[in-house]
Amino acid sequence: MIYGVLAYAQRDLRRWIRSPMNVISTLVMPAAWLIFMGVVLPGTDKGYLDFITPGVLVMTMLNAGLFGGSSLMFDKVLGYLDKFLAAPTPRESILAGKIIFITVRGLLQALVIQIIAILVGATVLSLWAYIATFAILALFGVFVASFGTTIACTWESMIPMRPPSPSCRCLCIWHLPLCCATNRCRRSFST
Amino acid sequence: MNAIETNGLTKVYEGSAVVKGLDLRVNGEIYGLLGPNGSGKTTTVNMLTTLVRPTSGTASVCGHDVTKDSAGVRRSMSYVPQDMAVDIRLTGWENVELFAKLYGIKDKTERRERIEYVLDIMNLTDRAGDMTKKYSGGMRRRLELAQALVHRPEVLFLDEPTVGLDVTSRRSIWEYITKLRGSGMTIFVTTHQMDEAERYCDRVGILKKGVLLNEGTPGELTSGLEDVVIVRTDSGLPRNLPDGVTPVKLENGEAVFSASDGADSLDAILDSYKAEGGKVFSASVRGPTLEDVYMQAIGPGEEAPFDEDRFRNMMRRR
Ligand SMILES: Nc1ncnc2c1ncn2[C@@H]1O[C@H](COP(=O)(O)OP(=O)(O)OP(=O)(O)O)[C@@H](O)[C@H]1O
Ligand SMILES: [Mg+2]
Repeated sequence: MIYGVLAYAQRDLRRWIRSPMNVISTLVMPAAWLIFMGVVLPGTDKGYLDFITPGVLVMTMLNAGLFGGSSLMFDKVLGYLDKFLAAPTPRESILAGKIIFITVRGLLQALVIQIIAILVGATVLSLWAYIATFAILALFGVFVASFGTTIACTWESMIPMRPPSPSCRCLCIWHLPLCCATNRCRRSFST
Repeated sequence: MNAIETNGLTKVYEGSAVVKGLDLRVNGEIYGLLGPNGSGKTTTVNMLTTLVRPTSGTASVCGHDVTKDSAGVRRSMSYVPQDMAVDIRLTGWENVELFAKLYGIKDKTERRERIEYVLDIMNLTDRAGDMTKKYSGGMRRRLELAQALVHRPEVLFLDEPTVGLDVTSRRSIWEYITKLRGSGMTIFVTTHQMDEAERYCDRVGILKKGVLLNEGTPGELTSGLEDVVIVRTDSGLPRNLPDGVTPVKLENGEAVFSASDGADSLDAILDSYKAEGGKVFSASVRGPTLEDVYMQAIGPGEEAPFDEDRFRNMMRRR
């Protein structure tokens, strides 16, 4: 199971890295957004940048997760999914691999944003605050990605898979409160 | 135990039966499923490869039931779908590696050896490091076969493996398939290519609207038909046909007859033309082919329902 999950995630990551346009756009766009909002807009100060950075991080993750589902739909439309479904790896690992890929990609985006935020003058926090931030972002990412892929599964009911498998549903339930806590948590760590 | 066995296999889509009560027994051979567009070939393969659940009836692959033990089915077979799907952003090697992993070949050295081996038999070793984006259609097909073969399946399902390929690629694909059969693998192919099916399949089944009309070796099927006599002429059919000769059609100055003994009948037909003063430019005799069997079984002008949307799309592109 785990083996298949990693194989799927590795495939997606490789495909993503091979397309420089994709990498640049997914990494640069949110960063550009942050700089625009936090630095370029008139009347912004250091405090404002500190204020919006966590928001941009969360929004990036949300975006990455929800749109990540489309990657599953592409696999289906392009016919890869049929080949995967006919392979002996448990079918759930297709979903799990996707979720890992989407989350890792989202975390990379978030990391770039965080680094740029620091470069343009956001307050530097303690290492623990960052670790906590990214741990929570990762959980949040898994949650949103599960949601996104589930939507992709049910979009056209032609995918012969029971969409929210029990394990997937568990993830969703216990990550929900965490996602609401993200901003609060970060603040309490920084003050 | 049959490698592939179905009993009354049926699939109903939106109220209409697409595959109706199929009974198949396939074992250690190349079995060709023939049929016009929309006759249910892909649906049959999809049921056997556990991608689609049968509405009724049973099917098993290597003794594993497709609904009760679908994991067992997937462990013992490989499937190359009708539409080509190789990852164009991965290299040939990585494409095969992915499937080696999905088939659970965990040992690194073993995996490398198997990948090297299948790439070698599919003649792709030189280009293994290239992105598949740069591969031609034939190379992509061979790569898909390589992917399907890494785990040494007992049964191989190929849905129209030679569609869109040139003569040499077609031939080499069929030669690979024949070699695999020689090593004991059971191969289930669907195709529209009658000449290929006649040449390479051990047994064929002709499917029409989900019903198996004919089944047997190409030799058995053609032996039931008469020889074909073709005469190019400008004077239509002779008024007095010799005994035992049936006119089949007259098209573009070509008269086609069927007769149990082609060579004798040819002389008789030519005599009839001569007696009536008709002009004959050329004449030929050939034995019945699988295509004749197919045309007779399917009947003329049986086409899939016209797809208006697709037609509009094609028009717009001009
Ligand atoms: N998912 C589906 N939902 C509804 N109808 C379907 C579905 N898949 C196939 N069909 C219908 O089933 C019939 C048989 O389709 P199938 O793809 O099995 O034909 P085929 O023999 O493979 O044809 P071709 O030679 O064109 O590939 C067609 O009429 C098709 O419209
Ligand atoms: Mg088909």
